[in-house]
This record gives sequence, C-alpha cells and structure tokens, in this order.
Amino acid sequence: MPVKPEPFLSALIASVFCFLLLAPAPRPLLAAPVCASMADETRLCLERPAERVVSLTPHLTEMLHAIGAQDRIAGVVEHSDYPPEAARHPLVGPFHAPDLERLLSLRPDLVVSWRTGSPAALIERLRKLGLPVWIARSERLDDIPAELRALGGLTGQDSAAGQAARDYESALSGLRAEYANRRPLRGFYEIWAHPLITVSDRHFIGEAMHLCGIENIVGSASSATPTWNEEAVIRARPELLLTSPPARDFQRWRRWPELPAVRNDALFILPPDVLMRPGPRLIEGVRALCSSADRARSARP
Amino acid sequence: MNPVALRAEHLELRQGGHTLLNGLDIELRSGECWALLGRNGAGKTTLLHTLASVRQPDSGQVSLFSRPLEDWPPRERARQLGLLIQDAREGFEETVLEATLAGRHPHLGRWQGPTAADQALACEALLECGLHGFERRQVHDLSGGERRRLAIATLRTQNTPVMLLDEPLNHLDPQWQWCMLGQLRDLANQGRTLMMSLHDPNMALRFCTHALLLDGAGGWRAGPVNGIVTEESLTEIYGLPMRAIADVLGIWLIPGLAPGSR
Amino acid sequence: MTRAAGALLTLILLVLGLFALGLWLGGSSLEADIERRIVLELRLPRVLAAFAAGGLLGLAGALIQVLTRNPLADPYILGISGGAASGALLAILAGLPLLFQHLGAAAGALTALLLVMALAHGAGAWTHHRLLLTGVALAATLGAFITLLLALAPETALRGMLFWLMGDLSGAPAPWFALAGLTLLTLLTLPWARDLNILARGETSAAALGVSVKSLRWTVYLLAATATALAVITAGSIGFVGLLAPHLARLLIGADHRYTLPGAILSGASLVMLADLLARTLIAPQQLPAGAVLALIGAPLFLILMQRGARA
Repeated sequence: MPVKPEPFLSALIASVFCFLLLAPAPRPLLAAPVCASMADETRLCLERPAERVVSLTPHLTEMLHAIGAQDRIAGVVEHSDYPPEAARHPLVGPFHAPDLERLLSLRPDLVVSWRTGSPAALIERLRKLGLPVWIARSERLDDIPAELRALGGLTGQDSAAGQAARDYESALSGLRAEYANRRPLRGFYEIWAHPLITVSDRHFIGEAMHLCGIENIVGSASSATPTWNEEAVIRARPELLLTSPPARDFQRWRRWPELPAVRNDALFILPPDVLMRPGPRLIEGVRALCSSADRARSARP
Repeated sequence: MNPVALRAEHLELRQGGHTLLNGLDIELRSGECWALLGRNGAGKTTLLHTLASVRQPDSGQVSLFSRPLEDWPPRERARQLGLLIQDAREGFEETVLEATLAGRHPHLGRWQGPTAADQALACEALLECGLHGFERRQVHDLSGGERRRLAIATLRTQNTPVMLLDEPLNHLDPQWQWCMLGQLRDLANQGRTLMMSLHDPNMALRFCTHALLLDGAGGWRAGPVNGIVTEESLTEIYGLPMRAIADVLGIWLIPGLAPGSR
Repeated sequence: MTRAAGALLTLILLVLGLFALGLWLGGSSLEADIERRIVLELRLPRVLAAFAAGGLLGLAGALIQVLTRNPLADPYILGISGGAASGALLAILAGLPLLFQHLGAAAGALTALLLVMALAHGAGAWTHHRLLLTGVALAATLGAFITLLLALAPETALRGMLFWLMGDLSGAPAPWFALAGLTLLTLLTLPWARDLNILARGETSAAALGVSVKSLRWTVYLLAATATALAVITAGSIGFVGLLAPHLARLLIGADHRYTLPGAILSGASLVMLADLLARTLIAPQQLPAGAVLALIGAPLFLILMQRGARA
C-alpha cells in the first residue's frame, strides 16, 4: 500500500516555497538614493541604483555599455547594434514607436530616453504609470560626458562612468587644441539629398565642424537640421562636402566643377553611425571629420 | 402616306427577368404625334430609351429612316433623333443658355463652338418655353417647372426630325402643360415625328394623333388615338374603371369610381 | 465668350510672370558663368517641373470631376497617387538613388491603375460609382501601406519620405518628360472638351446627344490616370491642387470645358509654380515643402474667390 502524503504537511511545504519565490531579493544594506539632472533641468532621483534599465535610443545603449552597465540593461530599441553584444538585449520596438506592453513586461526600474528622439506621449504615459524616466538632451558635444556621468550615477557605475567621461573629454580637448589654428575651410554636411537636409550650428555635427576648423556654410538656422536650397550651397562655394552613409546621390555635386570641393576632390563619406549618434563614439566621428578637413586642406593647390 | 421615320420590328423588352413588351411592331411616320400610355413600371421609359438607342433591345430591331439604329454613328443619329429624359440632371454650374446650347452638340464639329445661328436657335427655343430673359441665370436657381421647360428647350434646340419625350409634362402647371403640348403638336404638324409618355389620357386625346398602350406584361395596342384611347382599353391597362364624358370639346376620360370605393 | 478669353489670358500672363520670377528670384552674387548654370540647371527645370506637375494635376482634376460627376473628387481618389507613393517610398527605404525613386513611383502608379481597372471592370456594369469606390478602397489600402512604410522607416529617411508625400520639387527629374506628357494629354483631351460638357450632364442625356459614353469614359479615365501618374512622379503627391484648380477655373471661366480645361491646366500650373517659388524663397536658403505652402495659400484664395463669385 503506497504511503499517502500528509495533506497538511504538503500544503505547508508548498506555501513556504511560494513565500521563498515571491520574497524580494535581499537588498544591499547601504542602498542610498541616487539622483541625476535631465534635459529639462529637473532632477530624477531613484531610491537605489537601477537594475533593470530600458534604453529608448541606440546611443544611450552605447553609453550604458561604455560605463559598464550592460548587465543592467533590460531592453533596448531596434538598431541598438553597438557594441555588437548589445544586439542580444530584448527589443521593445523602433525608437519612434516602442511597444508599451513589451516595455512594461520587462519590468524596468528605469527608462532612459532622448528629448529629441523619443515620443513625448510615451514618456508621459510611462511617468503616469509610475516608472522613472530619465531624459537625455544629447545635443552638444559636451552633453555626452555629462550624460555618461548621470547614467553612471543612476546605475551605480560612478567610477566606470567617470573614467569614460574623462576619456571622452580629454580626447575632445586634444582634438580641440590640435585643430584650433588650422586654416578655416568652408564646408557643408549633407544628411539627405532630396530634399536637401543639412546640419546647422545648433547640431553637434555643426559644433564638431567648427572644432575641426570647418566653417559651416549653413550657419545658425531655425532648426538643427534645416532643409536647404541647393543653389545656396553652390553660391557659398564650399571647399569641403561631407555626408554619412547611405550617401544617396552624393556624387551629383560633381556636376559643379566650379566648387572648390569638387575641383579638389574633397567629397567625403564619413564612417556610418559614429557621427550621427551622440554617444561616446562620437569622438571617433569628430576625429574622422577633422581628418577629412585636413585632407581637403592638403589637396588645396 | 407620309414616310416612316422610326420602325420597331418584333421588339422585345425585358427588365429584371420580367417581360415588359413582346413582339412590338410599330411604324412612326412623319407628322404623327404619338402618346405612350401605361401604368407605372409598364416599360414606357424603357421603350423610349430603346427607341433612342440609349439602351439595347432584348430582341428585335429598331430602324431610323430605314437604317438599323445600331448602324447609325452616334452623332449622326443624334441629329435625327432626340430624347427628353425623365429627370434631367444638370452638370456643374452652368447658365440656362449654355444648358440649352448642349442641344447643338451633335451638329457641331469637334473643334467648333456654337455659332450665332446656334445661339439664335437656342434663344428662340427659350422664348417658346417661356424662358426668355433667363439666358444668363444659373440652372441651379431655376424652379422644377422651369427646369422642365429648359429641358424641352434643349430638345428643341437639338432640332431633330424625330423627338422622343419621357413625361414632358412633369412639374408643369396646367397652363404650361397645355401650352407645351400645343407646341409639341405644332412640331408634328410641321412634319416631325413625336412620341411622348403621358399620364393623362385626355391630353393624349386632345393633342396626339396616335397612341401606344402598354399593359406591362408584354401586351400592347397601337393606332390612331381615337380608336385606342377608350374606356375599355384604359380600364384594362390601368386596372381602374374609366368612364367617358362627352361635352362640346369631345370626350373626357375620368376614373369611374368615387374615391375610396374600390 | 469674352469672359473666358479674358480669364485665360490673365492666367497665361500669370504663368509667364511666375515663370520669370521663378528664374529670377533667389539671389545672385557670383560670376555670370555660374549664375547662368544655376538658372539653367537648377531653377529652369524646377520651374518647368512645377508648371508641368500643376498643369497635369489641374487637367486630371477637371477630368475626374466630370467622370465621377462629383465636384469634390480629386485625382488622388483613384488610388494612382497612393500607388506612386508606395513605389517611391519603397525605393527611398531601400536606399536606392533618385532615379529609382522616380521609377518606383511610375511602377507603383501603373500597378494601381491596372488594379483599379481590373477591379472596377469586374463582371458587372462599369458605373462611375463602382470606379469611384474601387479607387477609394485601393487608395485607403495604399494609405495604410504608406503609414506602415513610414512606421518602419529609419529616422534619416523619414524626412525625405514626408517631404515626398507633401510634394517636393527639389528632386524633380528632368521636366521634359512631364512637359511632353502635359502637351500630349492636353492635345488628346481638348477635342473631347464639348463631349465632356455633355457627359457632365449625365450618361443618358449624353448618349441621347450622340456621345459614345462608354468609350469616352474609358478615354477620360486613362487620360486622367496618366496625367496624375506623371504629376506625382514629377513632384511627389502634392495635394489639393487637383481639387482646387478645376474649381478656380470654373469660378473664373464657367462650365464650358473647351475653356475650363485650359483654365484648370493654367490654374494648377500657376498654383504649383507660386507655391514652389514661395517654398524656395520665403525663408531662403531654408526650404519649405511646396505642398504645405500650396494648401496654405490655395485654400484661402479659393474661399475668397468663392465669396466674390457668390456676391457677383
């Protein structure tokens, strides 16, 4: 005759197991609140460093990796492809329309977003649901080290973040010093050919051009990425024409041998992503930009 | 005898799987004014549209001046045969004169516009139909009766030897009903051939030379109006007892029952 | 017909004036040599493309309104522009060069045209309701597809796609194709102008007045569809002009299509030329989408003219 288990005992064991499964993980004893300022000048404070972060733009994913917080990433948006292992994080959809349900199912304790790139309605929604949302500005070259430090604070990676920020700052100031006295060149950066979309001084690429000694013929327009007139480009006689992949129809400028840039073969397609993403690799983009300016200077008769 | 303008042979009309008219053989000669009588849905409009080549016969043939209707190039046909449709709808905003001049369409070459002679014809038709002075008015601003007269003026401007009219008296007040029918009869007297659907047998008796009665189930009777439009035949096609009352003007046919005593 | 002749003359002068302004405005500073190239290679094709696209849309709009007997009809209801947009946006998404964007638009327009014809013809009668509804259904489907493409597009491509959808002449291809199309289609349409007057009054009366309704409707549909396709390939799906130009022509000229058709062509052409001129120069050297400018100036202009027409 088989032994019948004691009903009371099995119920007790089951409830103990359940209790163990449901109980919160033990917290570090000295968890202190962490705070960081955001794009809108307000501060976001967390009771303790975040452990499950959802990143709503590829460049913030890059930043989280750069400060050693990759294990705290719970989810990312599409095109989060750098560093290569970032592709292994769960996806929440495209950056301009993340899937709210999938995002919530990842149980994040922090969502990091970008003021100009993330949908404002979604951020509002997440905040109403009680989720802490940190908003990056990522508009100027100097925003990047500040944002690396802020993310470091929010994820408890202060020292690694400080190191990444200092690396970026010293590289940037090195480039700034190196190119401070180069002969100024008139340059134009093309984002898109039809319509012709470019960057103004308000854009970090515009800032980078200035740093490399390139005078942006667009100057300060009403938007960071204005739509521009082709004939205004020709009339400004750029000595340097720049773009990044896909560089569609970029070679059409060669129809205008009157332009010094065309005469000197100074049409450059810069490496992909690094210049368009305001992340830590932007420094590589700035370096590529500066060296293309140097090539244009040396090509000049 | 006058020459035959329009001839139907073994004509059969069906609508929605139902035979309206069977084996119609009829000749319309110039100078004749035909009344087309029958109750609602008997096929009056269908017959007129078939005779005007706007619709194909289900079997049988129609010929216009001895030439099968389908052999006529559309524009040439429209110079010989005109149709007044029951509910003329206007196009985009246009003036009364522009609408009337539409009747000249088949007479004009591809690149040609209406000439002074065309304009004169249109103005005369408008005058006859009591629309003199309305030339520059928008069609949209006309009343129902005025629009009906405009449609008749357009047909008169088309100026065809054969005219088919679907309920020309719609929307017209008694004075204009009388006046219009008188004018239409005059057109027949000038040697044209007319057929018009009517609802009042007395109008047919007063103004038409011939009549065609449809019973809506395939049957028909045709002939000179006095022999066809009678108490018996109308009682049969309308399904309502009719009586004849005679006075100095002739015979008047009226429903023979008191209201509600059916 | 002095009113019609006067209005047409005014429109011709307006087009010529806009043509001259389009070539002249935009600043000049450099040596004559490069200025000449700017005018000939950048401004001239753009002004001609604006003329051709506007004219084609005006013509297509006038034809579609007669065909559907609906004064609210717009050439885009037939789904042709949706097809062209799908093709062009797919080419943009695939990162293909500009030439393929135009080829994609052409292929998309042709596919939509054939689809509408096949579906609307079907088994039953080919009535204007059926044609209209088929076009509307196809346009709605393609609209959803376009939204999907926009949702999938990377951020860099999105601006280009939206500009294309609003109508953009900065990437207009060699305008000769559209100009030749406009000339040919105008020559093919004008002989039927009086038949269109008659057709606008209804199919039965048109048939009784000797118009071959069935073949005319097919001809008109094909002409309108071709005009729409050519316009959209040239300038993107620039909105509103196809609806507005025929109405402007009717307000100025009247309902006789012998004058209304050239009037619609010239009104459409001047509207798009003006819109592109403003889009190009208003906050130069920054650019605005011509389609948005067109709606901004076109709608109030139309309302003013309608008010004056009602008072007259």
